[in-house]
Amino acid sequence: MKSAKYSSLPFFVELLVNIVIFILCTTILVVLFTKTIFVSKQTRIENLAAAEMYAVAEIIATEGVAGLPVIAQEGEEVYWLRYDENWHLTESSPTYTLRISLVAIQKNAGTLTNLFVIAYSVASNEELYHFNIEFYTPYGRSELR
Amino acid sequence: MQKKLKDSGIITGILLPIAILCIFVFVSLTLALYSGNVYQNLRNTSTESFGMSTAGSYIQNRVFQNNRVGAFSISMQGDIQVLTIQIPTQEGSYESRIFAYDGYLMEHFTSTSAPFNTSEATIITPMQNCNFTLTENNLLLVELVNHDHLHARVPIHLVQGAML
Repeated sequence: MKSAKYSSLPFFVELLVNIVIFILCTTILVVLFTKTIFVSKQTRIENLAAAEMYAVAEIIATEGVAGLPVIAQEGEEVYWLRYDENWHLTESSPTYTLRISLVAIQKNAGTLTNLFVIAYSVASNEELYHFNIEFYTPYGRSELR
Repeated sequence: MQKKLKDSGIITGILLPIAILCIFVFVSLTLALYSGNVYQNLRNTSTESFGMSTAGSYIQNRVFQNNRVGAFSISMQGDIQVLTIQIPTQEGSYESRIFAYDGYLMEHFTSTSAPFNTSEATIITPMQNCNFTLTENNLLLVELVNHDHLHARVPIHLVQGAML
């Protein structure tokens, strides 16, 4: 009876080691996969945010702020755009927002405009992406604002 | 006593390894399914991004290649909104008609006099809808909507003007 007890001990130790290794590997894989999904979703959101922000910048450079359809204004030079989860402009309960800050500096022959755009996720209240560009509008072209 | 030992041997020698093997198989299959889901998720994101950027870049390139006065017009052919780009050649006047139809962004390169025909158009990329807007300041705004109802806007500044 004693020998039977001792002969099964290595088997159980090996089994235990295997289970521990398996649990470790499984945990690492689950964490890795979950992280991959999260990074993929985040990259998708950031790409869409960046694309929309550059589109907004191009519209402002050509049409001025009046070219943007849905605007909430904060102060004189800060504007907000609201988007739903599909990056479609919306007026109520947004999923994402863009904060557009415009600073125009009058020069001798035109206007130098500094545009600072930040994209936010409303649910997490986190900044997704931001960029800052400057463009020059010579006098004679239609006013931007 | 001997029967008890025999039972214990059956449990530790046969049933326990089988049970552990079953658990390993189950967990492995679950992991494989999960990894498959992750791969599908990545692939969908990649395809979606590719579709949007391809459509945007394609229209942008077509516009920049022909950015001349009076080269662009937007018209309705039934329910389909069509961006027409005039392309003069030595052999006559041709035009490129870009539109979204039947779940695809399409282009039909044909002579100016040819009637509008969707069946001869070339498929560019899958796209649910494509709207074109031309403003007074010569900004061509292309709004793309893919099959997941995701929106993307591509503004193109027509430096030398266009016609409405």
